[in-house]
Amino acid sequence: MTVQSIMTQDLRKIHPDKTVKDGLKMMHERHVRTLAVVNEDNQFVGLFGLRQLVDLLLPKAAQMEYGLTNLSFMPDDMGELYHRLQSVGQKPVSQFLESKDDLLLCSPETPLPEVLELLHQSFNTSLPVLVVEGDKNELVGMVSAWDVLEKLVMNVYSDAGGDAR
Amino acid sequence: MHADPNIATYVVFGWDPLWVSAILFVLTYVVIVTETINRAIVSGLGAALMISLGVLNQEQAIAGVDFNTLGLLTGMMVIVAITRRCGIFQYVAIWSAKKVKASPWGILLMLSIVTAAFSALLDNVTTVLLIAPVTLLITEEMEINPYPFLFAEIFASNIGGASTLVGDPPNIMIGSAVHLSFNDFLVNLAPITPVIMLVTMMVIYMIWGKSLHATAEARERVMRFREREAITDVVLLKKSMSVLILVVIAFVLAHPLRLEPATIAMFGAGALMFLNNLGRQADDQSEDVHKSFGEVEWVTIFFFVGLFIVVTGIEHAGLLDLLADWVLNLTGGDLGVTAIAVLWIAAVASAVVDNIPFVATMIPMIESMAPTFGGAENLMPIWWSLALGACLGGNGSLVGASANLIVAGFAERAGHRIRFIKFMATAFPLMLLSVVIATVYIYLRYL
Repeated sequence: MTVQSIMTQDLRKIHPDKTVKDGLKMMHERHVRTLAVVNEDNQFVGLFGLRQLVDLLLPKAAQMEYGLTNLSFMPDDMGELYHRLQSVGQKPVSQFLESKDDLLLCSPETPLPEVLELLHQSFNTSLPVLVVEGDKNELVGMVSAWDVLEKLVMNVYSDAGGDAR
Repeated sequence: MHADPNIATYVVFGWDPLWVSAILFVLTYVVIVTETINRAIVSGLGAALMISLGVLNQEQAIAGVDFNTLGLLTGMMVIVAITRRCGIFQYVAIWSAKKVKASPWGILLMLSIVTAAFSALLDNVTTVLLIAPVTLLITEEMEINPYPFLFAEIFASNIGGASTLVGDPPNIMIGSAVHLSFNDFLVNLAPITPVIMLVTMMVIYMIWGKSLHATAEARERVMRFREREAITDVVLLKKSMSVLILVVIAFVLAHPLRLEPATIAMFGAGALMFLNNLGRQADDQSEDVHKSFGEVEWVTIFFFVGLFIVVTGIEHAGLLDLLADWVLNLTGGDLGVTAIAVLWIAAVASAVVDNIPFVATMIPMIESMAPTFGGAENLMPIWWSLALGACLGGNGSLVGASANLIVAGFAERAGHRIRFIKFMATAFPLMLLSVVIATVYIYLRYL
């Protein structure tokens, strides 16, 4: 069995030139945690999601290695967060995305054990593994541990149904 | 550091110890400068070869390690590692920014003064590790370019570090080798460093002062910071401040107390760890002590160990005496010319290579010049020249001091990369200006 049979193909996509505001609105409306950033040729560029939202709301000095670990001295009202978001809201998502170079990719023919190994590697980031095709990295799907669970549950239920009969 | 003449040196294959030690020394230096291999590994291997090839035996090598320098560095590192956890450094930085009503130039000035003051009492790397993130936060909130702030802090850390015995590793090494006290450094170097700092800040103001603007709204955001919240542990704050103050008092009184700086620093570190673990369970104690020792920069400490042995090798083989004679020939054996030459060579060398190996080599070389100048007590102008040159020279380029690289690393992570050439184009002339001031000071005061 390959990743093709379990991956999600119905992807929420956004163009890299769209603004951060557009991206956040789309995520909120469609109840998704991550958007696939693809250009006009359907070439995969990266991911934009809730991780980026948190990073945008947090000062850079708190995100870096050896950076600030205590921010309790900063004003804690929503106004501060709105201000931060406003200043980056009109910038393109391409400036903030999780680049494809930092993500785990596989092809539609990747066998399931290898996909499980990639999912194991992505555990710390909780990001999906991207399924791309061809030299141009055309995005065809995404796979997460959730897709594996869905497939397993489906099989278990169909087996259980068979036993009952 | 001088080897026992009764122990003969048998270098393998009957090679000349002078050549073997010289080649090992140059190789160690070259590889350290190229930064292709971690400097602690290089100095460690250099030291091991010095012993294995027979230039030194193990006893001579260990006798060459200056444990006073190592103890002082380690002790201060432990004290700082514990103290920083209470948030006092962020508190002071934010407090100082608010004191000047968050005006951009005022903040630059205050953060530079805070950096210089901390660098005088703590090591420079630790100081910038604590100040640079707060600076980036403040400049981000104020929506202004952090570069002038970080530039000024680099200069402040190296100038502040030059002021005291414990401020910068070259001073620690010189103080330890020549038995100079904390007060000797205060009396001889602290009078000139504020002048250098003042002139440096004036130049920085001329370059960037007028272009630093922030909106009233941006300044208000910084004014809303609650610095008291930066203090995360009041009990630890009290304990660590008490120990730090006592350590500084002990440094000042070291001579009447008959204590070496390493004893004071290690005593302070032990006392603070004791206070911090009082009443804790054994497991918690082990975790805390492990963490505190873990924050000591062991790479630097082992780098020092290797370096001391490599330098002892060339000293033992007689190479440093030859070099000293060569320098004295060039300067005509004149104290003034030698002191000023040491100041300028130390400054330029420290701008391009690590000043620690440079100073480690210069110390025994200068010591061997004592007979020419009528005894060790007459070498003082040269020691102060070496200290000022090595510390101030660190400002000349991004690689001049470890603290500079730490600041550059922070800037890059915040998306404001500091370019090597761009930095040097301003920093090198400004460093030379500080050395001119130091030259005038050395000349007027000692020559």
